[in-house]
Amino acid sequence: MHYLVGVDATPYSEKAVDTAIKMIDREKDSITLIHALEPSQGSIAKSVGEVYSDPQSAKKEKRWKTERKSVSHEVKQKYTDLCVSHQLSFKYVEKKGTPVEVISKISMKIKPDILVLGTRNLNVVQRLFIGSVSKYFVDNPPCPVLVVPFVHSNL
Amino acid sequence: MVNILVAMDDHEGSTRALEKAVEIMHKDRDHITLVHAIDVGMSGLVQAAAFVDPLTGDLSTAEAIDRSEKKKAAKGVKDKCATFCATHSIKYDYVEEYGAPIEVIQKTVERLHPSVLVMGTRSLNAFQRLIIGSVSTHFVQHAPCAVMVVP
Repeated sequence: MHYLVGVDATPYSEKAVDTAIKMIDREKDSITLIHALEPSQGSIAKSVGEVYSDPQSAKKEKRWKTERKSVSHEVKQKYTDLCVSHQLSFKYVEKKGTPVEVISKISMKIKPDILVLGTRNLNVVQRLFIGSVSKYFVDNPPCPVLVVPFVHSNL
Repeated sequence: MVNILVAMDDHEGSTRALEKAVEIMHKDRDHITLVHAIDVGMSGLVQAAAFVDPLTGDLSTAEAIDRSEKKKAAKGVKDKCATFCATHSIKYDYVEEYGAPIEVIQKTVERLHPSVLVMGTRSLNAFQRLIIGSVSTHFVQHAPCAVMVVP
């Protein structure tokens, strides 16, 4: 069986990965970890043709990009180490885009047997504005979706 | 040991949910429980409305017919599960209760503390989901355990 697990820099996805590792059959199953690198404000602006007029925003943009690179490197290191220590057959993929876009595209490509997601534990108002990745995939499941909550989990 | 709780109804979606639950479980290690809610709410009465006595407005015949239909359907689900689990040599517990699906599943989750709750989807379209609501979405947001939704 092929597990696809969505990861990000938060502890919520650690729970999801731990759960997937507990369920996985080391000899028969494989796991793909997908990290969506969300676009910054600047890159969204650039994509619609806006150009920076002031040097301050360009500097901010650059700082954001370097920060994001180091964070994504840490995340990659953390999860690859975890998979290696459990002797799993795994793949780590990083893609640019929003979590929903990235996970949708990769599920269409690799057709996993289970998609495992953590929750961001958003409250009702946050969910209204930010939107929920896990809710999207429960309502539009490309395959069986396992949603792992951050608290109270018995797994 | 992982405790798996699978919510069953008489739609095809829950058969797929059961198949998937069986696929992910480690047969010698994990324990599986199936829960079936027998819903004797208004929806069933509406279907049986043809049997309402036109003169007195008496619902009792309608209720009786609805209840026996529901009982038959429930037995069908129970038998289907028994056959499936026998084919795959799986030991399981079966919980059958009268009530609304959400309440019955909620109570069972609180009682058994499963590690994973597995459910199928009813293939409702967006509008239906808005009006009727989705059992699976409710549990993803409120369950104290991991929830697996099987399309």
